[in-house]
Amino acid sequence: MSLLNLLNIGSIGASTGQAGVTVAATNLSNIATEGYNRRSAALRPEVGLSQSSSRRAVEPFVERRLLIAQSSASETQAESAALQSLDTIFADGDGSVGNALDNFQASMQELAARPGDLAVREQLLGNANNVATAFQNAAAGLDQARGDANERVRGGVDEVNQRLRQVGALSTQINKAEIGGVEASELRDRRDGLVREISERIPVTVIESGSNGFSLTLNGSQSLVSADGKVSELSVTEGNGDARITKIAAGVAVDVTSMVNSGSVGGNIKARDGALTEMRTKLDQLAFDFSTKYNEVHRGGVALDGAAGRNVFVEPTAVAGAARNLTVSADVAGQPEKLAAATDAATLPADNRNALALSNLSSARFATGGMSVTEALATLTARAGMAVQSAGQAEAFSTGALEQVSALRESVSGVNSDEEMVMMMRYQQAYSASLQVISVADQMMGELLNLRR
Amino acid sequence: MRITDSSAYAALNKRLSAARVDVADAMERASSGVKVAKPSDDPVAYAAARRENNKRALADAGVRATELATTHLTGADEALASATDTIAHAKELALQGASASLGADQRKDLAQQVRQLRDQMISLGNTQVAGSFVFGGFKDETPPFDPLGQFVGDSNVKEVSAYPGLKASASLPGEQAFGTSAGNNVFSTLDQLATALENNDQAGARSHIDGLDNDEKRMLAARSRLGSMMNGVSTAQSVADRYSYSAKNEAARLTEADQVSAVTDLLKAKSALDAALAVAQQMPTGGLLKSRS
Repeated sequence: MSLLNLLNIGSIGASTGQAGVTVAATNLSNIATEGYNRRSAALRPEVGLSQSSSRRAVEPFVERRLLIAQSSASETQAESAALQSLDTIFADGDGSVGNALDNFQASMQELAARPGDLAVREQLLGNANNVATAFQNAAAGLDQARGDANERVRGGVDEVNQRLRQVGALSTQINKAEIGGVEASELRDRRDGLVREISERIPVTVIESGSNGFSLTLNGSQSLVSADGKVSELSVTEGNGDARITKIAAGVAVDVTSMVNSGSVGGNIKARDGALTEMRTKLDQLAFDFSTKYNEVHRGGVALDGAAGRNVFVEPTAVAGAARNLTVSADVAGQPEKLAAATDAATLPADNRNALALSNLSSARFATGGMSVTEALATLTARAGMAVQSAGQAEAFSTGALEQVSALRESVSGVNSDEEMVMMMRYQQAYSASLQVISVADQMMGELLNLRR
Repeated sequence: MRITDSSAYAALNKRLSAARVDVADAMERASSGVKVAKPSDDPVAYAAARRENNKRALADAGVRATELATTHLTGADEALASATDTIAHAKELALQGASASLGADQRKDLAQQVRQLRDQMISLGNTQVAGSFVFGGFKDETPPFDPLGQFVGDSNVKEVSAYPGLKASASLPGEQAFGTSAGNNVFSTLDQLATALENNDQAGARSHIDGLDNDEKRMLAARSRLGSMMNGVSTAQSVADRYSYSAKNEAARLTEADQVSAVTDLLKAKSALDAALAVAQQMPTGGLLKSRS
């Protein structure tokens, strides 16, 4: 081995030490950077290390678990948020369906007590109107919640497409940058960050085969970004007023809504098609049962003008929309004398037999499921509460799971300042030693050259 | 497992956030006194409270209805008590009229008094309480007895609902107390007595004492029925009152917080937050970074 080679070794060592300190410094400076993967210095004998040859500390298995956990947590958070309005819609209080029904049923008893009293009749009509308004407002609240979920689905798909385009562009850049075999760590970090952001919205699977074999699929099937960086965007279509997600596959538009079963978009779809739809259907059924039965009994009674056959509420034509369309019938609206408290025109005005029959409907089990209106509403309220509660529990569970996986990922890819400081000291020592080698080699070279004198 | 700076801070952040949420929840419960404020807090309890609130609203309406019915029945009872006194007074006048010591003019004076009693009796038959003619049956907006003493009301008995399915009779048709329109009534008895006295008919005056006895018996029987009705309405009202009371208590039990446990929970939550904050202050800062500087 020549003395010149010794100088070369010292030089490589110094460069290695310098590069190692740089890697540690980079890690330290990114200690709080979201999505940053710790770089590790991979030494190769006799070649040493240069900054560009550092590699990210990434465990693909953990990254896959993180994407799944991220999608799941975002799904439950979105579902929980979308269902929060149920608590307000079905809570007791002024203007609620429950309070309005209580007052309406109580005023039926007042009518039975004072069948000829126009003030009592006015009050009953007012309470009938309040029941109709409460049902309308509850239906509108549910429609609003569904509308909001649809809006978030549309917005979520836009955000996904925007990120898919960036992922495609980055994949192309990474493929080019890594032709020389050097890892494009920063670009990969950015792409991983974008993939995580996509997984917050829809379920995605990353497939990586070889250094340039990155592809992204929707829930493991439909391609979103191919290995060559080609992007297949999602689009939103309208179906029965709801946002549906489609994707062009082999030139044909495919409805992929059912595949979007997690992520925030999936959570909104789940809330929309699950509890919100169920609540709306049941509310409609309750409004339908309520109005048709009260109409039926009321039609059998006689008003103060001796006429029978009038409805209290506009008779619903179908269950769907019954709550939204519930209104006081024009037969009696503004005409309290036309409320039918009696059963016989000959026994007016204090005949309260029909008012008693109407009053008895408060406990009659005519609602769907063999329940009274009160029981049906209580059951609906409990169901709404359970939907919100379950979503909250699922959110807590999945958020906990995400935290666990995130902690696992952090343990693999995160930065520990003490470790980096130790690494920095180590490379600093190596740098100092290498400079010593150069110094010794220089001395030896000088002494060798001085032999001639 | 490696513990990185980020994961240590993330864990601390999580604990602090959770502790603050717990404190906020506990403060809300302790300050509002409500433990179930919305359906998701406890769906089963909230739904049960909804049923209890409905039960209470219906029971309260029933209590109001029975109070009105009691007012009507009490008014009717007072009217029948007065009517019974009036009959007793008429009987005294009939006995005086049947006395041989009275002359024609004196009997005419008695006849005038009996006519006044008859008018008074008609007024009692047309007693109005809280806007209703209490002896009119379902026709309670017009006087049930015309000036001739004819019953023009109807024979229906009103029912009051104290709670859906819990009803009680709450009116007495006038003819059951004052007699039928077919002539067998207290008004015609008084009429006939007055006529006999006007005609100075001593025997006739005596003969109507039996009629007044019959009218009195009918009146007393009617009062007895009225008394039963008042008992029935009172019982129904008590049931409605109990429903309302128990519904109120049950709803409170289901939704309201126990103050002692609410305050204890708040203290626990505050202790947990204090502990988390103390841990935050113990977080190592700098580590080797600091020691090198």
